Amino acid sequence: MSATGQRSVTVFRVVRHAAYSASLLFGALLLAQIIFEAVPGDPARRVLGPYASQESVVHLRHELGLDRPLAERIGANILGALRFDFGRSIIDGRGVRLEVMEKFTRTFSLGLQAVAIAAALALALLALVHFVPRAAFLLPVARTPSVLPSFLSAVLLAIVAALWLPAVFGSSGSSRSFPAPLLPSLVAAIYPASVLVATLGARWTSLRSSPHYRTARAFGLGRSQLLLNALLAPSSPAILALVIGQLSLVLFASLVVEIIFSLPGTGTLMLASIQANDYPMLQGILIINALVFIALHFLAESLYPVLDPRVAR
Amino acid sequence: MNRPHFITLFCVSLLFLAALPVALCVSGNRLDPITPNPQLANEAPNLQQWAGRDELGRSTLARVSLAGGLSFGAACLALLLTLFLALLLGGIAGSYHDQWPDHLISWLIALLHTIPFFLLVVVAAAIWRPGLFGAFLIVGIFAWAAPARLARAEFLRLRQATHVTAARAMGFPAAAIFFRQTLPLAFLPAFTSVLILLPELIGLDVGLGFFGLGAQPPTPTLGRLLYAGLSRLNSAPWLAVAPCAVIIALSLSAFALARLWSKSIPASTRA
Repeated sequence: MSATGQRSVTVFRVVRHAAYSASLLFGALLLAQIIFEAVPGDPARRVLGPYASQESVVHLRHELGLDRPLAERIGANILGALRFDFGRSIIDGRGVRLEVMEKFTRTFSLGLQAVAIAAALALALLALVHFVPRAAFLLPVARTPSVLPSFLSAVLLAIVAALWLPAVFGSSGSSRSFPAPLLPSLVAAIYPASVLVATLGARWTSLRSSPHYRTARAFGLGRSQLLLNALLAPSSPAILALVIGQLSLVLFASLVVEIIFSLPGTGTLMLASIQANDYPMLQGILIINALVFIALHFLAESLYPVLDPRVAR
Repeated sequence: MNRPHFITLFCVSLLFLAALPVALCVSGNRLDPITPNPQLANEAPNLQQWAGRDELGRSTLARVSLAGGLSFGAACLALLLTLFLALLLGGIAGSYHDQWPDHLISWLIALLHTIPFFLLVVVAAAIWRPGLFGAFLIVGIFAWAAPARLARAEFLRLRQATHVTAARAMGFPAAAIFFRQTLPLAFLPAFTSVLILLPELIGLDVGLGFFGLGAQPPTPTLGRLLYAGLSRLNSAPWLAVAPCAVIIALSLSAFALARLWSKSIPASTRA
């Protein structure tokens, strides 16, 4: 195939993925709307409680657009979301987009740090076992947290750390000494690191008995070259998929970790919104998360052919 | 008896041990999980009360057993719903490969796969405010995507199997082929992939409890017991240790069961 033909195939693939991602985004908006529409009873009455006056309920119904017909309401909400306008908080009238974006950025950077730490830890351990086979006894130990529920380890570690390392956090959480910024992400990194060790370890074990690995050994490649060329390179698409898959779990663990370490982020915002029945805020959190993950999956789909040329064919 | 079998047997017997106090606390009020008993508040663990009492004098053992039983039951309910949806939708998608039902279901799978699962469950639970079992029905509604993807692949592969081709050549109707020829063979792999979710489903109780969702007081849940205990870790450590031990024991036994099950799939059933 000519170079231009190859390029047009790539462009076609990217355009098709983009269209598919756009349809997923539309689906996410619809899903968020369906969850909101399926509230049992009158949402306005639920927010304001049984003792609120009828006028304030009618007013809130108007604010939420509940007095308009269903189709018009769904259409207006989806159009609003396409313009990146998710309405205002029921509680204090803050714009949902600004509030969620600000808090989400913090949570997301915590999650990214955690996933990066997890990937580094897992690869370091697997590389250690590759160079020093006697260290293999560490693998079952490292795999254990992956069997337990995903955020149990984060919750337990976070609370133990917050209780027994008060010097690090200070009693009011005001001290900003060195370990404080990294500790929450380290706590959230334990589970994904364990999953990476389990999944990647199994993959490398099967790669070691594959013909290309044997050939590479027969050609006399050293241990470090084997690691880079015969193990790491063929499993790079799997690593990317695993890291993105773990990111969504890590984000949830980060919510819990944030609340325990009293960091202002999506976790704290969500807790407050849940307690106050702040439906627009919850919807906004869901939609912006979905948006970010749809974008991430789109990026990953575009990266796979680069990492593994067989995918492009 | 090889090692995995032994571990599973051990874990299953642990499960039964966990179920025993549930029976006890239902039958006698010595282990009543709900009624406060202020004279005995904050009793440390002893021979009668293996896990001590909480600040209202309620037996920790009884509360942890009831919570564990409820969480396990609710998780099993979610598991059954997930299995049903995964087999039904995965089966339809696999049987109508590359036609509109397949496209629609594959799109739904991609959608649920992309949106963070926990966030979806927590937001839906926060808006709908269901009880413990309602929360796990929500889980079932959203958790079927991964096993359905597997079931779809399984059905796709079975379409090419010799015995299915033979059944089609003999003129069996599509429904008969679906229920008699492909479903029995696709069941075990799908069941295993759903069973692997069980520890995560039990743990979801901890996540929902953190946001004050799921079952409401005075019903104890593992998540709420854990957080209540962790806030008093220094003065009454037994309050946190007991629910934590139950969560870990339930997760490990569910994992061991899933592993045993996946090993027990005979290779001959794979088309």
